Amino acid sequence: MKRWLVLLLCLLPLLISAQLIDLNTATLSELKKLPITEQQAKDIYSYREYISFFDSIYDLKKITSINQKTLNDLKPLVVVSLFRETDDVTQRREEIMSMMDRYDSNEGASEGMADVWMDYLMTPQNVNKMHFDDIISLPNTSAIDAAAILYRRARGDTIADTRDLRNSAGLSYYGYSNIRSFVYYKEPPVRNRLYIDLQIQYYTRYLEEGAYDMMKEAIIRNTGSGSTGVIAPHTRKYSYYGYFQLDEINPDVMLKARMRYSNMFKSGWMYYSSKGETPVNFAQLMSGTGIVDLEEGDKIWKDSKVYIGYENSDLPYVNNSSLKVYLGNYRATYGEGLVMENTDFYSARKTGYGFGKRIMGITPDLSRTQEYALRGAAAEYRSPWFSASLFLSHDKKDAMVYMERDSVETSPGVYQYLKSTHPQRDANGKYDVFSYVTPSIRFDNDELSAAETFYNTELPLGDPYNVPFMNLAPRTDILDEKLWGTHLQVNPFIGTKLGFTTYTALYDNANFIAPSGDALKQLIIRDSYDYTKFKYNDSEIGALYDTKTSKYERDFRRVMGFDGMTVVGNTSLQGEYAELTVDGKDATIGDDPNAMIVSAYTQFENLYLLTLYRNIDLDFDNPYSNAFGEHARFDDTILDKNIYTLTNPLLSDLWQTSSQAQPEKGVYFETRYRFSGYYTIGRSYLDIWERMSDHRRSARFQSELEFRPIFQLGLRARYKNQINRTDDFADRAVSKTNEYTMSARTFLSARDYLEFEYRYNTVWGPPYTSLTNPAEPGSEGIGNNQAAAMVLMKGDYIGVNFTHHFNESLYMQGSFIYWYGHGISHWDWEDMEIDFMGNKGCKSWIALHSQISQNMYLTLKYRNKSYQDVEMYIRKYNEPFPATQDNYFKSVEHSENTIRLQLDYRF
Amino acid sequence: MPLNKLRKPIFILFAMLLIVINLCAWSVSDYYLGNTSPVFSARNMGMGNTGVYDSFSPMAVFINPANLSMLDGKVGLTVNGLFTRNEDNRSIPLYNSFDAFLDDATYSNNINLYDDYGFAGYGKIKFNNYVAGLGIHYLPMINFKGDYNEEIRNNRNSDDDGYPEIIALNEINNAGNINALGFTLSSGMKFDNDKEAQIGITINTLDGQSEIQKSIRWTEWAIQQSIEQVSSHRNVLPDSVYTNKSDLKGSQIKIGTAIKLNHRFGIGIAYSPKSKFDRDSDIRIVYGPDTTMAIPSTSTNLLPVITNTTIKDKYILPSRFRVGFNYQPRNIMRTYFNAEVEYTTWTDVSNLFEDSWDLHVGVEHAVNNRIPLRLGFQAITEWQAMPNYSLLTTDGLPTIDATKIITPSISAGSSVLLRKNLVLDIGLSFSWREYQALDMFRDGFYDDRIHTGMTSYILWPNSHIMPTDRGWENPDKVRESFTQISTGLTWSW
Repeated sequence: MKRWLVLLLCLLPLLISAQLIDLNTATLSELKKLPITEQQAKDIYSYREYISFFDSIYDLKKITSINQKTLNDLKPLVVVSLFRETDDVTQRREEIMSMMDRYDSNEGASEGMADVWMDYLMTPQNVNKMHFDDIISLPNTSAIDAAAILYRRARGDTIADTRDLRNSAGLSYYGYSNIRSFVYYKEPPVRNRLYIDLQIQYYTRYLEEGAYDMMKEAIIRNTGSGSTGVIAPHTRKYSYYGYFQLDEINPDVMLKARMRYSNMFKSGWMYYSSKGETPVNFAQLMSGTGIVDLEEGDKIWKDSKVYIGYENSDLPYVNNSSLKVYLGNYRATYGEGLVMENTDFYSARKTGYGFGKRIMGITPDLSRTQEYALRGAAAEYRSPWFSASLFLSHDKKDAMVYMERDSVETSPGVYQYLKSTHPQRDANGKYDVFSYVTPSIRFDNDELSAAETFYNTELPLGDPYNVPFMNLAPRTDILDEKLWGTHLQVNPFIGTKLGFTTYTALYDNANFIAPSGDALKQLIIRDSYDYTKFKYNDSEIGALYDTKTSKYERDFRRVMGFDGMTVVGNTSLQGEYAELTVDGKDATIGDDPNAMIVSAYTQFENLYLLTLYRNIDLDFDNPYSNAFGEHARFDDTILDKNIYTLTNPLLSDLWQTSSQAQPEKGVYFETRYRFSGYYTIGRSYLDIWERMSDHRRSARFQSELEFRPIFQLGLRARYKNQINRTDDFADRAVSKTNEYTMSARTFLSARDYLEFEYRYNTVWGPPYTSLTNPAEPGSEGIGNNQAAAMVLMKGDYIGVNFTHHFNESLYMQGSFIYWYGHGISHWDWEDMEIDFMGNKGCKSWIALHSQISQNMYLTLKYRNKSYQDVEMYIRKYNEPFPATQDNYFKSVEHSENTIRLQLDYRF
Repeated sequence: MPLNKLRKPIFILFAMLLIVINLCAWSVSDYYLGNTSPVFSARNMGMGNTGVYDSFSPMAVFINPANLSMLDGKVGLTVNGLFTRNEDNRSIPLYNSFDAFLDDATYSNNINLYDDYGFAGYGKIKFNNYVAGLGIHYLPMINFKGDYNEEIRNNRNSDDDGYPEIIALNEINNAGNINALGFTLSSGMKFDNDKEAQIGITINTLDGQSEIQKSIRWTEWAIQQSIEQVSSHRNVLPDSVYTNKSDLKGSQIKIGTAIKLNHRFGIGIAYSPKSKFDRDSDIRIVYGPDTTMAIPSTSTNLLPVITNTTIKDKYILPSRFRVGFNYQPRNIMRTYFNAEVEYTTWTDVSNLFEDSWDLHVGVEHAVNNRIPLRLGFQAITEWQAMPNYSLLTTDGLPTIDATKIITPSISAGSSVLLRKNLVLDIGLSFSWREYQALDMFRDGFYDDRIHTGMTSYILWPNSHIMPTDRGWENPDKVRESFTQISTGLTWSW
């Protein structure tokens, strides 16, 4: 009996509480039974369903209709249980939210790597099983950090938790703080399940400055000296910009869907339509009978990227080995990116460390890369001692091709040229290709052909040019490329690896032909009058790879190379050597154009030092390389500086969108040193290099000092200096750039911040080698009789940046910038992209990031940029055609409104 | 000038302006339907004009009639005002001394303000799990308002920062609306607390007028030049005034359904088939010298030619199909999220057009103290049809070119509870678009030699200027922005 009484007493509270209503689980009808009004019951229910679960009964006071008295009345009748809707996945997502935001907003720069990193943030890898390449592929993680972890594991130690990881000898705090979010120790933080990521992006953008100039470049007949009396037509359509009506708002649209079962089975699809392209007509796709329109369906396939893959980081039967197999689009990256790193996007000074990180090996690819996308199959096997990968791709590539004029036989043996052209083929039916090209805008081939015919109608009408038609033109998907490649690697010691990489691209339907010297000049420059614009450094264009020369004829391009890395104490040494097979032998080193990068990275707790040497031969034309360089290939060549002289302005795209580094040799030093709690020398570097084409020597130095007297305030001073120097009889040029930046940041509560920035720069340009007009107003007609002195250009820039978090679900970023530059361009790292700003203007943007629910995210960004272009010349009043002199005209104002909508669903 | 010589310009002007009949809401651009009126609701405007599943705004019934039976209360009324600022910049291509296209220079800038008002009311009755509602609305659906002024100046003194003489003034003054008087019937059924389905139908009676006036008037200075320099001391410069008054009558049906799937998700679907209704137009063209102008007694004046035409034709509204969802997640800010797409069969109007999908996204967060912050985005596709005089048909008529224009918008909004059951909503929207268009007043008309019959100019002191028509080879670049504020007062009981 006594036992029953004890049991009853124990159960009594339970029985009493059983009669209480749990605010976190009660149904609406249960809430209505409480002594409150129906509206109050509904309000409680709504609060719980649409705002938050109750943490305590006092949360009821947050409901407007519940006053203190009602709360007092309810107290004895209700209970609040600890109840959360969140599961392990949601909890994990909340933990890594800010990092996800950061990688997501850097997606534009990292081009696809963000997807990989975000996957590993969500479903981390086991730090006790990761390989060397797995660890060094994580952002901001050095080889020394990776080696420290592997050394510890090699001792038979198992890393048990985050604190344990921190205690790894040799692992820097910086490395630790970056690694910890990407790894787990004993049990993964989330269970194996299906993950879905969906994304819609709608982005109205304007062309970048260079592409804008290229598209606006006029294609006109030669007016000659005027003696012919020919008047060139004032026709907007004689530019790609006018012909294709690029004024119109034509958004970039991206649809992306990724699905994966943990880190094992992965699949993804992305459709991307960029400004100026003819997008898929979704209305037509599904219109009418309900049958999918095949033409539109085919376009979707061509404009899409897709993959399916399998990854297993713990293969059965083989100890500590992993396997990856991918079908569809994938990326392959090895070493220093000299042999293979397939991306369309160039970023300067990509060291492979810190922010210039590479993800080694095979990874799925849904980036915006289209030209150098690999589509096919790839497999990768990794073990602690050995790894191998094989990749195959078959895809059609865009190329700059030679055009041939159509003709008709007017009488036997007499042919007359027509205005239309077609891609030139040799006797075997192979296209003659000048180069790969990543078009700024992928115009439709038929539309391009029509535009060229239109231009070809006009061009021969004036004084005949040397090249009176569009002899080179881009064509999409014209180059049939089959590519195979492999990477073999041995890891003899911890932190040491030696690798061999090679790929061969087979061209069944094309010859690559790029003449040099005078032949090149005559090919790409329309008017012989402009041949003088062709400079020594344009030999870079002549160094494009040929498959057909007087020495050999083949249908492939082959690159092979060795890479290696070793960690000695707190220093890692790494490098890659690559050779492009031209007229040497595959097995012989040094007989072909080659490239080399070696670097040493020393790491201390508050300091790192990086030294990097690169030497890239002029002839090393490997489109799949994405190595360290100060400039992109063809920078400062005629493709960059004198677009108007080209036979087709779109040739400039070889430079505009180049993903290869410019052939350079030089040494680069970089450091960051936090030498006291208050002072940090931020990322600082010195680069001294020589351009291979013309041996121009340059130096660039940048350093910044941050002073943080209190945690909430950071004061920064940055100085940048660049000197480009050419001492050459033909082309003497020196330019010196100095840039001074001061900024003050306040770090407020809740990750809010406010920053003011001021920048001042000066550029000393080379003296003109020609005479010019006197400076006095009204003396334009006097003639060119004044020598021009060295030109000093100055620029100012002032900006305000801010971030404000309204709460954990809503935050706002924004910026306002005003700049004035006399011929100087400023740049701004804006949200997802770098924006270049010429002459003078102002820009403001605001972005709102809203977390709609645990799974859904919305970003809405609006930007306005108003600026004046360089001052323009138009014909003077009362001046007959053709003009004999120029006259200043008011600058033309540009106003851009840009919007970006991004909607993400992550399940 | 002999009348037979006037035939051609009259015909061209007539043909050109005939196309103009179908314009335009706020904008003067010549394209069918112009800017479709935004939803006449400040709340919906703030949320990117979403509302195919909407249980708050009586005006959202105009988007989907099925929304009616979901509205709060038994009776409700709303009055909304819409204030629009339209800025229209037209630019002409610039060429450098190498005759290369450089950029565009703005030659006209017009800023106009317009206001419009709409009203909606409803009543609902509940029978157990069934709801039936009746609604009424009256609002402008298509808006013909548009104003444009342009000065034609010669180029004397233009290189000394001087202002050259004004030769002629071009104007467009459009007015009128097509108003929709609509009755909505809606019925809903509740399956349980979290599941409901409603259907609805709206019948809109469309009734409206449009008055479109487009004119070229020579200035007194120009007329004086004519009188002084033409040998017979006559004013031979013909003003051109085109007026089109139209009555439009018709109807439109819209059907829709709104389904609440659970306490978080609701989907809405609405469809309005193509409507074809009557338009009676009286067109008056006055072409000739201005007889009201005081001229010296020694001068003579020609009489203007006046043409009156009546046209009866059909006015077509394309069918529209909209589908979207409403999502109410658990969020520390009370949140409503709408995403919708609308399919418009522009091919109903013309086979030159292509059908399009439009995107609307909106969110409402109760940021603080129950004050909502609304954000929205939309991208609307419309079509512009313009006559191309450089490509004539076998009948000598201009061919018609179609251009697609995408108008993206961003919007924001909020609301204030003024009294119990009385809410003031405010919405703000900014839209812009950029496109190419043919010159609305063709430059060849200002070549005074075609009017005077003389071999030299009387209005253009610089003989190197040759006013000639610009076609698609040198179109205008048009940049337009729309800033709209919508305010609404909603009472429900």
